[in-house]
Amino acid sequence: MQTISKTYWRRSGLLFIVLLLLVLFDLTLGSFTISYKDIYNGLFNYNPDSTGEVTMRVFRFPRVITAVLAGAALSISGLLMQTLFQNPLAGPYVLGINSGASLLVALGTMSSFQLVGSDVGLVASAMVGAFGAGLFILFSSLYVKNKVSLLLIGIMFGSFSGALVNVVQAYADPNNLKTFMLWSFGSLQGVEYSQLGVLSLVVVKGIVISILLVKPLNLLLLGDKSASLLGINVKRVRLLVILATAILTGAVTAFCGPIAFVGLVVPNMIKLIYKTTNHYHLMIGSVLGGALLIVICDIAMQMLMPFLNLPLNALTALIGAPVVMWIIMRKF
Amino acid sequence: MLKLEELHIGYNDGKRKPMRKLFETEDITFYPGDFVAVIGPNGSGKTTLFNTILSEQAAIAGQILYKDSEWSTISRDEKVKIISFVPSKFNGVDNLTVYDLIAMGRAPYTNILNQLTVHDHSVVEKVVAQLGLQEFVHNNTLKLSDGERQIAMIGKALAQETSVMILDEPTAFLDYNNRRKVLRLLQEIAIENNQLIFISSHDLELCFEYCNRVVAIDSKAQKLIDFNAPFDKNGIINSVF
Repeated sequence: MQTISKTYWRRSGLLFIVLLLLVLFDLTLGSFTISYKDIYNGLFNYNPDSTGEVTMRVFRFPRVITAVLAGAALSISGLLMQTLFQNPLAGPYVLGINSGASLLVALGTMSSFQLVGSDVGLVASAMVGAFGAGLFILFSSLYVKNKVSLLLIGIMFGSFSGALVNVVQAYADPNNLKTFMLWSFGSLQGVEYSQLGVLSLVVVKGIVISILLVKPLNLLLLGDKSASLLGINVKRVRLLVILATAILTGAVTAFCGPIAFVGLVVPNMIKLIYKTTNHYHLMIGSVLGGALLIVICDIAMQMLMPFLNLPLNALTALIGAPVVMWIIMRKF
Repeated sequence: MLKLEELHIGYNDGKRKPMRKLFETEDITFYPGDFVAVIGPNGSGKTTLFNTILSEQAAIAGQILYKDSEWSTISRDEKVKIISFVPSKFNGVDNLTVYDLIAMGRAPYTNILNQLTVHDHSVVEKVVAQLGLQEFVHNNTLKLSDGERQIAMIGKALAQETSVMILDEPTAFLDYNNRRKVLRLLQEIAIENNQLIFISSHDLELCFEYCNRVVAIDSKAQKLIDFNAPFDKNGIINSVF
């Protein structure tokens, strides 16, 4: 068994090295190329007079770190949802948890209620929205036993809150409307250096809660009753899972917009690569795999930039939708 | 070891309605090494009795004693080290190996990250050997036959190292050969490990063959009747069905 555990670490190590290399490569990309020397200086030996170092610090570094954090957070949320609902197609986007966050962000940014004045307010309202949507789905899951029906409820909830967002949009100030539309395309550029602290703190918190849930998640695979008879407080675990998902999805949605499909695709890929049900390794894999996927998306966007301005959400959907179809054909 | 004291078993079908009583027991004591079959018609309350013993639901009246201490005062964390449960059907999970499934039985003893110690691994190895599962250890539980999967689930309960084990209709989804195999295995476990094992079953003939005690639920009189081996088959069947 010790040897098997080693193979998981080896896979994680490999993912980590690839991620690190791509992160470095991604840092050089943008409207002009930055040398690796400027990247190093921009981080550790900052000189505000050098254009390369300023660009690195103000634009590149926040963008790439946001990519890593967003990918990690969304993938873990997806893994949590898939285990909680025992459904390979579950994810924060499909179940309407992103939509709940979007709804409150839309209300906050476009309506006359000034709910949110600061970043913290924005993040908090997105989390409240995500938590509300999560509770709604959890409540529905107690009545709807069919896996596909639950997904349909999530999609309907998404449409419903989408409609409410449309109503808000119809009355919104054109400037706010434009900001909101750009946000809803999904973007990694909206996070400033000073905001990185808030985002990473929240994401790390969410990941820590998730890792503390490893044991209950492993046992939930046997079903609620068996898990409960192995000493798991199933009700409490369900709430904590929804809470962790709300924190992770809410934070990312507030800063980067509703990014689709990452939470659904990455955990499925990781399960395919790791071939285990141990959530300890699946979580490490999802963090690395999610970060990797969004960094790759960012690299693709930066390289295509001269020819075509591709929004992040379009790119993730281009990758994600075929994967979903493939999972449906394979498992349903 | 486990004593039911004038236990009234029942359930409620709605929050506002009063509990509906299914049956009551006199004082019955079960001992380590007993292999007990709970029999009775569908809906007579076999599962309800198990759920009551497992503390998944409350009894209407009466109490359960475990080694002279009241069952309801024992904490959940302690209970999962005393009693283990095997559901009638487990469909398997993709990528979950037999070894990992059996290791799940160690969950009450592991740390928060569910990491197995050397001792936990040796318990799992011992269970694998006892059940003769060596050749399936690394197989995916999704791809086992129903019989193999049921035995692996029994392995999970054994790894939990409890003194009481409850199996809800363990043979319901198995063919004739596997039914005999599972029951023979349980009989051996009860004696070898000195464990108290409860099963519920509709295979009366097989229960009479392998179990040393049969408790029958008489729905008309709302009583639980205790029989010891050797069984008077016709007498039991006439009194219950």
